[in-house]
Amino acid sequence: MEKPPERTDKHVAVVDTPGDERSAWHAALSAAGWTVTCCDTADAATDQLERAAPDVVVAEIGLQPTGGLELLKVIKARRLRTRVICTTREHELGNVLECLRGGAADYLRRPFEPSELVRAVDDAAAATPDDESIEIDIGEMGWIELQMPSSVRCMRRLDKFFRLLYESEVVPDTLEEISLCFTEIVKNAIEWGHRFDASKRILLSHMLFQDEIVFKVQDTGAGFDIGQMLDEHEDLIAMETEREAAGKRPGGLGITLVAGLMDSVIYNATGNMIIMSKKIYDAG
Amino acid sequence: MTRAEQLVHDEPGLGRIIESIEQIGSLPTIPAAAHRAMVVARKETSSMREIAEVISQDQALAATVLRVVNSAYYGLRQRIGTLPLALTVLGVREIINLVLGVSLLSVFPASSDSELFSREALWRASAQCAYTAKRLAHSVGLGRLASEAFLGGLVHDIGLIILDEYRHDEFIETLRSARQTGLESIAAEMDRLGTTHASIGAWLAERWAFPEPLVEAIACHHDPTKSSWQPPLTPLVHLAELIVALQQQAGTVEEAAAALEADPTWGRLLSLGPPVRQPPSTIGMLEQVCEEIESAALILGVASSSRR
Repeated sequence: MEKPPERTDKHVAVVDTPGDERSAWHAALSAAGWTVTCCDTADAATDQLERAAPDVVVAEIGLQPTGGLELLKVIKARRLRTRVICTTREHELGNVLECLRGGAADYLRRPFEPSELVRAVDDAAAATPDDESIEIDIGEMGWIELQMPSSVRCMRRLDKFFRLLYESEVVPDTLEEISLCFTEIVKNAIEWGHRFDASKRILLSHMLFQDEIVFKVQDTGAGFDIGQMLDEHEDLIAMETEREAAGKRPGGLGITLVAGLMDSVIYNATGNMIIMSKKIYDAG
Repeated sequence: MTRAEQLVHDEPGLGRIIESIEQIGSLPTIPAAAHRAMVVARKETSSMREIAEVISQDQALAATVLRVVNSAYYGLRQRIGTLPLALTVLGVREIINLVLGVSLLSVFPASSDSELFSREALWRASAQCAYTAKRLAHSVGLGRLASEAFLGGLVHDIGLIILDEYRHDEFIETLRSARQTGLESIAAEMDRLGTTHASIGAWLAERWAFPEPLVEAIACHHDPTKSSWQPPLTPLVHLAELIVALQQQAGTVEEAAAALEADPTWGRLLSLGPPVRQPPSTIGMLEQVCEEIESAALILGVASSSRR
């Protein structure tokens, strides 16, 4: 184990085999004001957990005999406040889902710039416990179902995971458009469906079909009649301003953008669930 | 013993008819994609993606389903352009039953009309029965059975088509004797054939691996007391057929309501739904249900224009 430099009150443990990469991360994190402990194995890191209580653990998934995902489970089982960032040399969709399900703060594919790690560690440390309480399930008929608190930070984290899940299946431009629509609709649910009440949860389901991706986003707030709104207003900007002034869901510009980028946008009768779909084409 | 065998074991003529149909050799089959979709949907581990892929293998079938989904009947404000979206919005059960329904209509085209039997008229009545059964399911608080009731209504008389296709002369003779003697046609079938269209239809439905409640609804639609009532699909189909028949008799709605209330199945079915504070009147329900009969033309029109 490398000797920790002079301690600050922010503590990160890096769990990976020794080498140039680990040294570069160590240097970058120290320079950013972090106290860094390096562990060669997950077991060594587990021993450290109670004693040193690091704010963040950066753990390599491929470590033998125990990997980063197992360490993540131990940390969550012990209900520690320590945030976990998983790194990997071998990107696998199953691991992305495991990280999300296990409550990892981030998932980083190697190689990456040390500055990216510093950003991820800073972000992870700033997250509240709410931000990580995403529940993930394989629902009926194979839908991937997620429940997330109404927080913008959580939405960003989820957006990143979505991109990782679909980047090998969807061409970059299409992925960008889908991500834009996804965040737009979730933001709408956070702001107008739940009025930034992080205790209220948003339900997201998605499924990748052969050549089409379908999303369902549902909040528990009062819905709105998008069809009627668009029928009644020709000037969307005026409508948005008017609705916002009246304290209602604006739904105009954002929804129009989404309707333009996705192939289909369908609302349920009460207007608080939206189904979006877009044809995708294999990136390969 | 299969469910169909349990229900029809005392019919002496069924074995003979089945044997003769099998000797002809080419038993009608529903499109492979529709059949596979049904089988895949029944597995607990299946995903919606798999179901979409299976149905999409038959492009004509997929296109027909989308046309029905986008018809005025469903009243969706936005157009559903793809099968994944149709599955997402309407659900797997609704789409699978629609797939089977439009497939059946393509298996037996409306030809071979005689003075006594018209396939076209039978399909029209069956489609009316399908929409009626679906609406009825909602009206009596059994909405969870709505899409099965739709399919049950559509296929309940499939045995008549089998008889017309494979035992045409014998079948027409049976109908003639029913007309002459004033017997109900099901009694005339038992009399002359030693079996009924209900039993033959149930046998075919079992060969097609249709779900058991559907086999039962076909076998027992003339006598729901023989069915298990679990789920109560047979009574829905039985009453839907009665309602369609009453509507064709062009009596007053009061007369139809009285006839419906006189059927013991009606009272028993009403007692199954969730308790409601003010139960709707039979007349009110009948009026609601009869509106659906108009929708029957939709599925028939779509299916006949896509027939291959």
